Amino acid sequence: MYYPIIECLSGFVWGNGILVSIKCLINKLYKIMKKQLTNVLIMVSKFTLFGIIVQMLCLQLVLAVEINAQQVKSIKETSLKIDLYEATIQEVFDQIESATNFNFNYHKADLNHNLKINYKSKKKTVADLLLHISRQSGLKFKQVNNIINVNMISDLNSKETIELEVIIQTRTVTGKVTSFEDDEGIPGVNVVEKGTSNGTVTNINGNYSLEVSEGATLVFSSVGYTTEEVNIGNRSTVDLVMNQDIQQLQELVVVGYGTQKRKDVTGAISSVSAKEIESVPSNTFEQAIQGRLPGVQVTQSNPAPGGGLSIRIRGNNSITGNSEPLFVIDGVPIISNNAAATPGGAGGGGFNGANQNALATLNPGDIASIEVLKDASATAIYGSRGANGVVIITTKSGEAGKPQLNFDAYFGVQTPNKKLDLLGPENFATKFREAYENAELPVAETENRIQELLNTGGFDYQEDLFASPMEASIQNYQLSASGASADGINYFVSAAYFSQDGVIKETGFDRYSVRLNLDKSFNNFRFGTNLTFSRTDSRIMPTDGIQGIVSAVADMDPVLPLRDENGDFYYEGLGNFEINSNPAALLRGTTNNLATNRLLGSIFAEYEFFEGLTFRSTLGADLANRSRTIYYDRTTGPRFGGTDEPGLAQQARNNSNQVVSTNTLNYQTRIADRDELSLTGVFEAQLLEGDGFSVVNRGFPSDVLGADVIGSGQRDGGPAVGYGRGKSQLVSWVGRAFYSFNDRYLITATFRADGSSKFRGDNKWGYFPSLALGWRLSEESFFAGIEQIDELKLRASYGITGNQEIPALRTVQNLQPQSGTIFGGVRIPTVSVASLGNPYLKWETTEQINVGLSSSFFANRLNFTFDYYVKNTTDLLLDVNIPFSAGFDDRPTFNFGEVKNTGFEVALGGEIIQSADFSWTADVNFSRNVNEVVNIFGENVLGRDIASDNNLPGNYVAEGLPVGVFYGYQTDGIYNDQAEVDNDPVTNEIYLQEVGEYKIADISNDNVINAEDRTVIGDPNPDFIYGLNTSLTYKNFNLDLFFQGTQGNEILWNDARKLYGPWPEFNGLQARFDDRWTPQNTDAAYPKYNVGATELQGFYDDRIIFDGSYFRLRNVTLGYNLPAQTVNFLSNLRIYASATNIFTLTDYPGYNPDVNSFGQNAINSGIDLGAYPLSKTYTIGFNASF
Amino acid sequence: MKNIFLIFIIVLVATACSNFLEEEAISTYTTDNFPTNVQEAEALLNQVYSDTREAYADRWLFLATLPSEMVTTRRDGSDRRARLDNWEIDNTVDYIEDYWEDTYVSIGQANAVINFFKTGDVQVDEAIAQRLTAEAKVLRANAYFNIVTFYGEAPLNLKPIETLEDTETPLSSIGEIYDAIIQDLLDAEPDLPHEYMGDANKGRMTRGAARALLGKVYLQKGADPAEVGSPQDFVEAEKWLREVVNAEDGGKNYILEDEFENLFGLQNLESAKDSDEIIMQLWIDADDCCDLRFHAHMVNRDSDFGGGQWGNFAAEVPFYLSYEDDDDRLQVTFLDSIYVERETDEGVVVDTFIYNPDNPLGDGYQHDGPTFQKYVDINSPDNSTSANVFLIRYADVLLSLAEAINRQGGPTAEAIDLVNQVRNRADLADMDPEPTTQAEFTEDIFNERRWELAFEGHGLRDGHRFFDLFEQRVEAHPNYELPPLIGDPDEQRVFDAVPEVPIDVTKENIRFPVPQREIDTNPAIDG
Repeated sequence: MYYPIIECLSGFVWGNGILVSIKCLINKLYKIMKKQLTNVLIMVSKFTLFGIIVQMLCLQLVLAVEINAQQVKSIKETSLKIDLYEATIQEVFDQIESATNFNFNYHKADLNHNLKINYKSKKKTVADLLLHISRQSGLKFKQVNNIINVNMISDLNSKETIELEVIIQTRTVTGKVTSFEDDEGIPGVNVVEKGTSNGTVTNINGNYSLEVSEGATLVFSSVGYTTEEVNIGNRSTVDLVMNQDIQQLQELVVVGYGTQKRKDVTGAISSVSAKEIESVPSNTFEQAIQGRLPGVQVTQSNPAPGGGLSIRIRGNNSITGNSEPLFVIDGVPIISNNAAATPGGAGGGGFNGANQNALATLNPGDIASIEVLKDASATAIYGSRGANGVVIITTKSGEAGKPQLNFDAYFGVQTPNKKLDLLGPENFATKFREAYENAELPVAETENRIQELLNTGGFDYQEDLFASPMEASIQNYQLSASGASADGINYFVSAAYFSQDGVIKETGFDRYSVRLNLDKSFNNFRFGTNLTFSRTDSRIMPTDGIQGIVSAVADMDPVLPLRDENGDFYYEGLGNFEINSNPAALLRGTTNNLATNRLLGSIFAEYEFFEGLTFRSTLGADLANRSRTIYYDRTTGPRFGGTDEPGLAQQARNNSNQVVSTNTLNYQTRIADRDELSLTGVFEAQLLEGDGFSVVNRGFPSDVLGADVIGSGQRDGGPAVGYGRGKSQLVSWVGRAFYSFNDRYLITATFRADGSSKFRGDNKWGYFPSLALGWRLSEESFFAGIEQIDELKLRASYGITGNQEIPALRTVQNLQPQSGTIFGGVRIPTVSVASLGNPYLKWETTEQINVGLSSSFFANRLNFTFDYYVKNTTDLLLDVNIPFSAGFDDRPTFNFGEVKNTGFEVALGGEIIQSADFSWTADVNFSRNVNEVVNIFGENVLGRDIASDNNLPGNYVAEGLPVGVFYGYQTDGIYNDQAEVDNDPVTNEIYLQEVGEYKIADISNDNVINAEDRTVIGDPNPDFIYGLNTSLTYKNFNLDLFFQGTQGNEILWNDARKLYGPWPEFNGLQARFDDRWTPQNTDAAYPKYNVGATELQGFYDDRIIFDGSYFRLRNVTLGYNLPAQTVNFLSNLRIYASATNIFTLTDYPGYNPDVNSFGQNAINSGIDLGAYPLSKTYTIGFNASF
Repeated sequence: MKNIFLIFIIVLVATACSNFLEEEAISTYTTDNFPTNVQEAEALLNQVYSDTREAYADRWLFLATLPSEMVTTRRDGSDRRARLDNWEIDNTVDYIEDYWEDTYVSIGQANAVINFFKTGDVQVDEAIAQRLTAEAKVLRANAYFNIVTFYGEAPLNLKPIETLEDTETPLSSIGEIYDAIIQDLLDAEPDLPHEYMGDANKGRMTRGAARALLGKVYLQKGADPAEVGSPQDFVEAEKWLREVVNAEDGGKNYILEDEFENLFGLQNLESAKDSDEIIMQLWIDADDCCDLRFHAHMVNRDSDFGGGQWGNFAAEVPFYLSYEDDDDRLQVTFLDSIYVERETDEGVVVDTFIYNPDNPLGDGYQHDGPTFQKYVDINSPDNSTSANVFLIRYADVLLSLAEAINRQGGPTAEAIDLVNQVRNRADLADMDPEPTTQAEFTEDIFNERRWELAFEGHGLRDGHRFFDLFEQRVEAHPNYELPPLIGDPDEQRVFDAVPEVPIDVTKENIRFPVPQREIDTNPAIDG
């Protein structure tokens, strides 16, 4: 019923006009009603409601692939619009070829290149034009189907009759296309004469009829079926039986401790392929997966090269515990702790910049696939570490076949994503004067100074931060070889170099990595390795903090030149205000390098006792050494190296060693040739140990040698030394059973028992079960005959996972050596009982229910998955505030409280157009998570204090709200005149109440503005996140576009306090300047400038909370594949140009809405503390295979 | 690489061992590995001293003195210090929360020490264990004495907190807290030495300190405005104070210094620490670890003594004027003349600003009352002082003993003599007229304590015991009319801490509220 209608619609799409389409529709419907009513009724009754929906979806697809049917026409019947002026014969042929389906066949030598053709035609036929040419050129033409053969007229003098020969050899082929599964006709199959656009579509019974050239080959294609090609030979009837395409369902998916066929998967698992990872030039794979996976939120905590990221899978579970997922790289489990990967610290007063990414040592080019396990059925097998989701990374391995050598390279330049529109010197001076006048302070005294500074022209401190595009280069080179040797060794080896210089000067990241993946089978044995060694070097600048280099720009008066009369940097602005941090000085006076050497990998041996029963033992290791060197020279100001003890040096080293032994017994069998059973048992033991120390010194005679001569410093009291060592162990027993009944009913049960050294006694062992059911509806008999559906699977799972990521020694009271006490003038050591140990500490427990649907249609051309989940995390590992009367300074960790995450995820993808020359695919994902603190300590008192660890009372944790909402005062317009102030019944106890100042909303309705009036002023958790990836391929060109975004989250932009503030001592934004309150501009968006107007008692207000929603064109890549065999020794060559982050739609006024300065800390999310700006990247590159 | 294989092997072998999952305390001291000997146990005890000093470091002095009629602050109305001064006290005054926190930290540490020895986990000499326990108990008693004075009902934790449930301690009654304090001191007294050997023990709690404190606690309990005491308390007070005065059981002979200046003269800051008048003190050193931040709070803003000059305290003028003119203590207690070097066009000029009650600003003295000299450290490098905190000195014991006797029936010749001893040391004659009634002698003792112990932290606590006198004077003091101001109004730094409404001191509001945070985090306390 639907396909004829589609023909009409497609006609509309291709431009036949709406009237034609409507007429066509009426006709077709009439015909259907008349002739095929019975069929229609049968179909309608056969299809369920869902079937109809599927058909609707299919309608979209078929609509797009419909081909404008066209038969071979004679040159005498083909008219042509052409305008030739002084054209050569060859040009004429080219024009005809491009305007029609005809191709000329000629010898170049036959053409008279001096002959110029002039010809103008609007409606004349091709034949007319060729006759015209023939008369002048002595050529004759013979059309055979679409080919026009060109020959010389044998005897020019014979006045031979100029002729055109037209031979059209066609044949009408008819036939019926049926399905292998049920022998029924398949409607809507595309039948195309190969190499032409001549084609048709089968009707509702599967019949078709097509006029084709002699000897043509027919291409039969239909979504959901394997495409077939048939040479008609001498036949006039060609029937075809088509097979369903089920290849995709057999594809293997990596799950915990093994693989599963995609059709058998019962959990919520999303995958990313190597191709997608490689498509975004980035220093780490996490950037590449951002926005690609539903339910996975990746935020940049530090967009600096090598900077840290944070990943949340289905929201925050924990409040003060860790919420990052577990990473499993080739079987080696790793917790990504960016803080540990960035040794050093605030010791000694130096400021170190934001965290680096613990996983940036991994070369994205080595990754074959990434699987993200989300529901409990998938993650419970990782037990105590699975609660935050699991990211499984599999690296590339060699495959049987010809050895393949690949060389990939790209080079690019970067520019800052955005620059702030800051005040220039003149406007700044105006602001300064106005603030003084409004505060009734004498500005006249300063006027001379202002003029003096204005005459210097000032300095653009923001511009000074950024490197030129060529300085901010990005480059990557990777050489890899893979294949299999004759004696069965599979290998993948690679060497890669990645280098990125940041958009902020003096920052950068380099990675050198090598990989060796081998495996070898003989008899029943198989063994191998996955090993990678990498070296990374980061050059860091202090960002993310009020003294950081980005925030410092907001501190600087633009009237101040780079250096003063003595050649020194400014630390005092106009009006003698102190400048804490001078960005230009920091840029020139800071050395901050981090080098990491890391060996990550595993060796394994496998033995197959008999078919189906395998034992595999893996030893994995992650060994890392890090070395950090920081030096702030004496020009960097009083907060850094410019103190009485000039120069500030820090040396920090740490190393961490993780070893894991995994032993797996796996049994697989088929029962009654109908059912499948798979059993897995694992014993695993892990040991993590590490240590680190740090030395800080000050007071250097010279800056020349920096921190290399840290011993020569003369810090009062000697160098400050810190050292720590820690160790933890985990032992696990894991079991999994999978049963597939009749390929329809699936059941997966897993169980894990984890024993952790972090807990004591009975709490040492935690038990994590899960159960999942799957029902492959598409296998049921009532779905038989709906060929469009490859797979329709309902999934439901329930399980329990845990979290044990707390610092060591929390179960016992810790004692802290203190600075001592004095008796009789003698100093004596003291030790304090620092914290309350909690021997009853146990796992944080997350219970998750997931229901989902996986489906695939039209031979995997359309995929749709949907998941809905509810996660309840109880017994939170919470650092709780206990009463002071308990007598401890530090907060102990208790299992307390409950957090709930509810959400859904949708992924839809498909190949919208699939034809010989052109294809178009698109994938969309969308996810929504709602986070709620269900219970913390009964009262809503925790939040402010928890967050005040970072001196940011803005974040708040309270029952009934998402974790870490922003909490503060709400502004309510501006007092425009004195009457408004006088008539306001509200008394403001915390802020200036005068004309031109903000009104504060009286939330508590008691006519007094005080601490009671604070309320929730923002939520850093997005309403939803989404990604859209689309790829267009035309012949050898392809164009990939990748969009990504978040919606409904708020950001606390700390610098906005200064940039939108009233004070004369800081720079400001032009927009705030333009719409400030003045007696002339009373309807202003921003209050008047003022001196010393107090901040709202250190609390936050909504002036610095901004909408953080954004929509970003993350990447666009245009590539060209050189046609095969263009160059002999190359098997493939692709060249491409790519642009990343080139456009972002957002209302966020800061540098980058994708920001999270506290990174992996769950409470303080959505905060921009002067984060490193994002870069736009333009690259060109190529991949060559030999 | 060798190491890696070693680790592999260790993992394999270790997993076979049952203790693979034991958590090892590495680079952290825990109760599993500390203390193991007497020195380590002493380090824990020493931290109680450190915590006690921290609790006293600045907030204590504000809480203990500002509400009295002796002291005011230059801060204006909404300031937390002004609110203490003006009796506009609620639990948003953060000192109330801070002092609570610091004091309970010292109690928690003391509990840990006492418990370590009680459980016998640590193998030390029994006598040493007893002595260390006794020191901790005196410090704990002193902490609770402050808690009960300042806050009244409060959580009474005498055992280490081990579980979350343990932290939910309800408020104990004032009587229960007194009983616990007395029990601690009774336990500790016999186990403490009269004196310690060696410099490195100066400042430790002695038997004399325990006795004196016990006497003072009984006295306080007996006269507490909450009426938790009984006449028997004064009998006990007298008994324990007499033990100090009589140096019983070979006790140390405490004496009055010949001159008041020996204790508080600017030059005598270090020598005073060794005075035999001092019975209980906290040892202070302006070293990083162990300073007291009183110096800067004290010092007049125009002085050129070292360190900061915040001038947060000043004497209430009526109190300053109440001293007899020839009282030695007047010049030593107050900084009423200041030498200032100033750069002028004519070079460096030395000015002397002298406080003149009739014209406070007339000669440039920028306070409306004289500042205090006690705790001022002329060698202070910053804001801190090296002056010890004298918790109990012999003069206090003499006056307390006189009070204990008087409260049992009125003045006796002995009691009058005790007071006169203190007066005579200040070069004053005997009381004249000699008190004849209990009420008269009560007022005399109160006044004498004010003059003798001004600013040593007794202001509020004495106010509890002498409630009627205290109420009367505190409520009257805002009525004191300042003399007309002379001089440049822009130079005026007179205190603005004049209460907006009349002060109403009651037996209920004389104690501070329990801090809001405690109420919020402790489910056993009703908000």
